[in-house]
Amino acid sequence: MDTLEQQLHDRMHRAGGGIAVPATDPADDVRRGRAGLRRQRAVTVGGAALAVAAVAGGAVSLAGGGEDNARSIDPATAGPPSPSASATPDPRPPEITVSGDSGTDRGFEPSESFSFPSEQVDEAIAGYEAAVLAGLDPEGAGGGPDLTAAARDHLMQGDAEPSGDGATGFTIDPSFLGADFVLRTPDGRSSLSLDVEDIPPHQEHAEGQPPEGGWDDGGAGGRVVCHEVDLGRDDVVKARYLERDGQLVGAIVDKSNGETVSLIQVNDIGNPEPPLPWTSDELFAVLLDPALTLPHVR
Amino acid sequence: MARRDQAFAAYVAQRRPQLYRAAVLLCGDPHRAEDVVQAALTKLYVAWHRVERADSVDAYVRRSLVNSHLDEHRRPWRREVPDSDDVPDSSVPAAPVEDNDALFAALRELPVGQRRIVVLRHYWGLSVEETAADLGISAGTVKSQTSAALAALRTLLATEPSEGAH
Repeated sequence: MDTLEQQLHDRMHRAGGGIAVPATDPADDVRRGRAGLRRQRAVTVGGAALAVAAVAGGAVSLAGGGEDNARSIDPATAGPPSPSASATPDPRPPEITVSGDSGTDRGFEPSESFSFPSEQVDEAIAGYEAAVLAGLDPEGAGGGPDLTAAARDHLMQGDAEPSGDGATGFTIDPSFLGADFVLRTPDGRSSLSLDVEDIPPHQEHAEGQPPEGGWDDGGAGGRVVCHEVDLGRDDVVKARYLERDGQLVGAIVDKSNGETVSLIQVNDIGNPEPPLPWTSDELFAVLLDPALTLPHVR
Repeated sequence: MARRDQAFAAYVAQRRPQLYRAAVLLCGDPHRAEDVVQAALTKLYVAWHRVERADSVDAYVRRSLVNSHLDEHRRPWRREVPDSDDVPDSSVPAAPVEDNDALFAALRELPVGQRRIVVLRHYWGLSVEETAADLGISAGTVKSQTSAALAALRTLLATEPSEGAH
């Protein structure tokens, strides 16, 4: 660790130590956890068949199953089981597996699983980046993708799945892929979040789709309004562009194959960015690029 | 109280402050940080038996925290301004102390991927390899992104008066 890193390290700890921690009762977290468990069980019952169909319909083959089809990255290629353990990068490419689980409350019980290689995910993400950059930054003047692996991070929802040997994996959702982009424009940077999703019906209204009519953006301030337009295409069910205070900040397309593709400006709290320097038609053209589809749909 | 509840509550009592502080560094906002911590702990409760058996509770909750932050970051409509009836918890403190404002502001300027790496490495104290494993990226990417983040922070903090004292 060099001097600058050590300074940052020390300063981060001072800053962290200066943060007042709210007094909370662990019982509140227990209560929320129980509610989460109930929700998960309800979703498992309602969504298991859909989850199997969504994955089995692609380039994977089903070799085993159970009531609850958790998805995980092969534990053999996942990270260390604890922060103290050292990790040696595995030269083998990780493999996304879908495995049967007899019920989360009863613990993970390894069973037969099926998988598809992560190269498909990498290939999809690379295609997304190429499509977005070709459409929005053809001159190559922007900063390019912020972090390619952000898309893979987004796949990993953080659910560790112990295997028989105690290794740790990640639960992921193969029906949800995305990439982050930071493009620098003459009037400032534009941070964009691209998502390609096959939104399960039970999530559509809860979190998958933006509220009809828009929402108050707590991050940047102001109200974001959705405008629906007719693109006159058979492969599009619904197309919307988003404006905040009359300025374009994103677009969303629901495709007839069930996927939703969105490209939306990202703002941090108190750190609004300038409006996007493209037209809604330019954003729609990017969103309808054939490359922006999920691996198992290809 | 069930054994899961007892063990989970004990873990939360011990670790919640660290999780909350890391979340504030990630989000730059105490209210969103509390949301992110709650989401991560809810996921942890659901998976408790599995991760406890694998002795991977810390790694699990750390990943959950980072991913919950990413979820918040990626779906702007989740950041809707609450209705007036939805009053924030008064136990949540105000913004971090003024002395650290420059650092928090500089962190917020970083792309979210770099910010997560900085927090994992320099607040949580993870190694390059552990950070890479947590984020599912290569060690080389962690190194390059750390380097880019440090360069950006150096620039962002250059005008800050107290910087020379460190």
